[in-house]
Amino acid sequence: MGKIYSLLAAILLTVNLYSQDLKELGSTGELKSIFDNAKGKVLLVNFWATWCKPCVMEFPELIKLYNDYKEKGFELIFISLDVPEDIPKLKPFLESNKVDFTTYLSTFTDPEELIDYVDKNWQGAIPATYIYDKDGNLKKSIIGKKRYSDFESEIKTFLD
Amino acid sequence: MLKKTIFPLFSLILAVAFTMSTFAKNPGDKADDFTLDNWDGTKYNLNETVAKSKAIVIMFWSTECPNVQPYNDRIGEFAKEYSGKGFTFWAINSNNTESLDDVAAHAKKNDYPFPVLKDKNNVIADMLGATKTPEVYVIGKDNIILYHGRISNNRNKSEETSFDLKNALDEISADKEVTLKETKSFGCTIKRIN
Repeated sequence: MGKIYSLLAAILLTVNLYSQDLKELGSTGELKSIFDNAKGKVLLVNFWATWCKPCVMEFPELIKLYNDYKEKGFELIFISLDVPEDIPKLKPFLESNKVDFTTYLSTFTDPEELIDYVDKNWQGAIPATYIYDKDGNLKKSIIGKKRYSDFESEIKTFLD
Repeated sequence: MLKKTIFPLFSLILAVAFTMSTFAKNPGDKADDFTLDNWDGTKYNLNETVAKSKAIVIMFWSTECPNVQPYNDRIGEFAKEYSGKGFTFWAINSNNTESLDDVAAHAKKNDYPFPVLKDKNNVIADMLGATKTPEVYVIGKDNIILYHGRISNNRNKSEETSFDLKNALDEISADKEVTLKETKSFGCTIKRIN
């Protein structure tokens, strides 16, 4: 496992030469910090992976949602569950979708730690989307692919 | 007055029962009996199979999910090994996006030693509360769920360090209570009709 993540770090270093926008996320402390920094905004956290077809299909819908509402108190966080062998596809995918903000790559060694921190009722199916109000309270859990209009109607509930 | 009390109460009981039947089932809960067809048309019934097995290993499966396919290199041998110890293995395909022909072709290609049952309209996935592939339920005597969760902690054989399904089956084989009854991992959502 150590060799795998050394390889991952090497690949990410290469990625970072081109983009500083993909960060590793490997602990619940780091995740809490990300959530805390988003307080004051309606937050949508999307768990996805390049190997997940429905995730890839809804990704552009979420990018559009972010661009339409980022100036209106909305924050979007993508957390990729790609594994080391998927990394070479990840950066090109982000570039092709014009992602110009920080996204995260899970490096949790135990998937259960991440899953249970986010939602104890979540079995780990992706795409999974979690929506938090401006106080950081989890208000909506969405499992499966959705359209722009679905996401929009959910976040508008909590935006002013 | 009796009529005014009994009918609403009866309706409430029915509503609660229906709601409860749609909740996900966890270890310790009882799975409802069901019959599904294999891709070749052979019927498989839960109650009948439980009666003649140590336990049934039900694996929600997919012809396409990238978190399922890496297990093809070893799930067949694993199933054969534990079939020899009295366990029965079934794969269940509840994906609306994967046809019976897809399932049949995939099963033949991988030469599975177990049936792949087609769960039309995701009825059984709904009954158990399964949400993804792969997702495993081990069902024992009296249809009690003994284990629910992942096969292992990594889809790639070279990176597996926790063999959760194997551990559960070994404990059941030794007539011991399963220590780790529930595990989680990432997987592809079951493509439901609803």
